[in-house]
Amino acid sequence: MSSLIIANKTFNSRLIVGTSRYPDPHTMLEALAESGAEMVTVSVRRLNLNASNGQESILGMLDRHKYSILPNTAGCYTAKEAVLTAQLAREALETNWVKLEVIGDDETLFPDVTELLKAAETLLADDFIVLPYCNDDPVTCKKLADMGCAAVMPLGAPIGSGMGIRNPYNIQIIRDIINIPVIVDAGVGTASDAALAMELGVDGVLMNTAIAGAEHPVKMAKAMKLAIEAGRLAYESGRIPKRLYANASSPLEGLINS
Amino acid sequence: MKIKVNGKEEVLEDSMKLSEYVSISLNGKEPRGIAVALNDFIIPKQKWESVLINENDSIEIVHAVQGG
Repeated sequence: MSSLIIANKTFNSRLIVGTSRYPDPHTMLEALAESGAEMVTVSVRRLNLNASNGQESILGMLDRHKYSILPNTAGCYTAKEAVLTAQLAREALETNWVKLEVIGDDETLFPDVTELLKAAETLLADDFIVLPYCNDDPVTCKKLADMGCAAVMPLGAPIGSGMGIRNPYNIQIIRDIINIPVIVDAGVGTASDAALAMELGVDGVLMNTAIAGAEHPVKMAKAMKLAIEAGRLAYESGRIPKRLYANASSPLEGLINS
Repeated sequence: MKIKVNGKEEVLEDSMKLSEYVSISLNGKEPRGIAVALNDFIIPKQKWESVLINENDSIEIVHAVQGG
């Protein structure tokens, strides 16, 4: 499987995995290892100053020699919030990579495109490497790519919904018109969803709930790893076309009784 | 002197350096993996020593946690 290159950084794995919603930290670490992921996402949140057992920093658990950290701006609804969060993340994690999320609606968690574009512009001017989570709209993806984002990350379906690739045709169009890496982010439910995304020609898949929320996260992590490899290999192999009618596979010469 | 820290109102006896406040908040722990913003501006770690907290300042102290 060929490597994934984002912003001049090479990854052997085309699977990016999130770190939330696992039943426990041990399972998370095992699942991440099994997934083969080389980049993982984290959030940035307020330190719990009054409790002695506030939400534990995830930094202590992740081996940064093994995993590239991609902080997200989850929970931001405006460009201003997202930009501040990204800047805080850069300071806290010493990375200028950011998964930019600007949410427009609480039920669907679809992006607010206007604010997303504003935030992307601001962050790009501030030397961030921006990977925007966006809807599966080729027009928005093109705008984000043209303004200098390092990749575009169209959703397959709403975050955590497990619905898979709801609009494979849009994803295909996005893949067609966009020259930077396309990473399907959000909505993947099971292995075939990830394989389908890769067969459509996208460069990678980002997922969290599909693995963390599975009955057996470690097993699912492995399934996803294999699915992504299979889907990518299939894409690189150049599949046969779809035909309306049969195309006999056995030879016609030497037929008995002819 | 009233300030806001991580969304909550707090009262400080006197103004103090940001570095001092962070140290107290972390119970003296080494400030690894955290970031501080004062009135929506990121204050890099090297500058904490030279920034004084004033009345009505709003401080955010954050760190990385799990996320998708």
